Amino acid sequence: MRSLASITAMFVFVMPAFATESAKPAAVAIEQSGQPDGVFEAVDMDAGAVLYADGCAQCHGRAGRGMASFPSLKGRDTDYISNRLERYRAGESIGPNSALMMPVSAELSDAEIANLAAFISEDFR
Amino acid sequence: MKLPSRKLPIAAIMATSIAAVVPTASLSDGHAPSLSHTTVLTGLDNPWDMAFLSDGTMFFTEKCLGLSVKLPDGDVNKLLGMVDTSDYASTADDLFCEGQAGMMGVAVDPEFDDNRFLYVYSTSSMTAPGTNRLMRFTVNEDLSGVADRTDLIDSVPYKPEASDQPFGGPGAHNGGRVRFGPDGYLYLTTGDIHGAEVPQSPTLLGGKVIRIDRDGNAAEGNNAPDGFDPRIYTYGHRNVQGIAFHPETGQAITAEHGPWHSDEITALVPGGNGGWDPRPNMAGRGECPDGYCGYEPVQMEALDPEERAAYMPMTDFVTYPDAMPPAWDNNGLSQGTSSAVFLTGDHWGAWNGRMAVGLMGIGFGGTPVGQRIDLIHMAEDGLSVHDVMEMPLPMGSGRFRSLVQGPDGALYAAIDEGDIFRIMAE
Repeated sequence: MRSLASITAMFVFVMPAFATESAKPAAVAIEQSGQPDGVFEAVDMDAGAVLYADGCAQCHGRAGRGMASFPSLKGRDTDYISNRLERYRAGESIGPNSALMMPVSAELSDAEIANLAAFISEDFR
Repeated sequence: MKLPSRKLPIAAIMATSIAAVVPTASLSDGHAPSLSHTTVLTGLDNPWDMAFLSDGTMFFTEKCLGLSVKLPDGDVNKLLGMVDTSDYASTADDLFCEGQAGMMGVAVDPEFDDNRFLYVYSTSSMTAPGTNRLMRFTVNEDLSGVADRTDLIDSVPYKPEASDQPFGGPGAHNGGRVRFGPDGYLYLTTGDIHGAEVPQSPTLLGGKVIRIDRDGNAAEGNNAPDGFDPRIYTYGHRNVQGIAFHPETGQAITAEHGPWHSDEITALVPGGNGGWDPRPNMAGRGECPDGYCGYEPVQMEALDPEERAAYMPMTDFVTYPDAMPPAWDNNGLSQGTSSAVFLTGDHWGAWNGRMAVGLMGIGFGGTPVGQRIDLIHMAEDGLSVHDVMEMPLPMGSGRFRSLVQGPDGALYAAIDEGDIFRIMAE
């Protein structure tokens, strides 16, 4: 399976139907975890932004730069974010904040993880 | 020591927000104030605490950077940097941050006009494996630098290594608030550093409220039990990040962060025991991860907070029947209760005399995140509350780390994200 980052780089395109006033792409094509190799779905950046605001910003901050003992997400690519969320979702303990991240990730679908990864990697460069 | 002036243009970090008035929820007596806010500073790095002079001068700490002061004209002087900083008037290379640890509380001496004393609590590497220290400085006349560092307390424990706990990284649970009480003594709140033996220890200064004079000597009347360090005012605490003083009785009241359950507001009595004791093999418990039972019985999984409280109580009245009873336990939830201050002045209307409590917010096991400021109407005897309500914020919410009432009567609120807000009432 090709990496999410490389796929994202190859298939970024703007979806007018999801376009917002921001310059960033509202949606990108990305390979979904669990899909057969070569199957792609549109990633919804706006949905990722909403998910982030509702479930992540309280600890990682509105700009993703981290605070207190919650790490910065700046500069993290889609591979990193997706991998971490998938591992937390599977119940794997990774570091001292796992008790919070595991339940937060447990309810995320593949598409939601992809949306979050795309938003974070794009918005918090 | 001669220190250069290091002024920064305030425009770089000061927001010019327009005050937005938000009507508050009406209380039964109909005298709830209307609130508005401005952003005093933004873009800070984990602002942890503030302390004011009577003219509005505001000292503030940033957890991983150091101590600064905002002058009445808006300029900011960077006074004391931590290790690896370069743009402060002076730098203390032993001061560092790790996890929850770093530069925390700050307090101004009540006699500042005469002695220029300022007090700062920070993590230090001066002695291995690191400690938390309460330091006293002298601030120079033009507020451009500090000097004469005196470490009043140099041995509050620090957690140097990770352990198998939630938030189990180094630097956990340092407490950190520094305040002068109306009795003229300096109060320092500390934390248990995920150390099972620490809160009930008679000599370790973690998990305590310490009360000293401005030179670091134990206050008279601390009433610590025989064999205890005489600087200990109360013990058996988990992680106290808030302390305020009842405007009528002067009683010290703490705001304490609970362990997946039961944040507590507790009126302190000299020599009192907060009843936190996370040791294994006692109180019906067996072994615990890395010898610390504080998040048990299932530290990484959701569990009804009542069941948690029964197994690992925040205040263990069975083992310690004389423990200080909390006046409020946040409905049995843990949501990151941090700082506290009493609101005083007629402009607060029905809230005059209420204790404002900042909650940083933490959602675990079905508990709502709960980032907010609560307004607590304490009973005069400190043993219960008459009423608790959520302040209807005139700005967005955040991880409320510090609440201080300024000399102008406004409530200043710092959030970890980097903002200090000024909340006005009328």
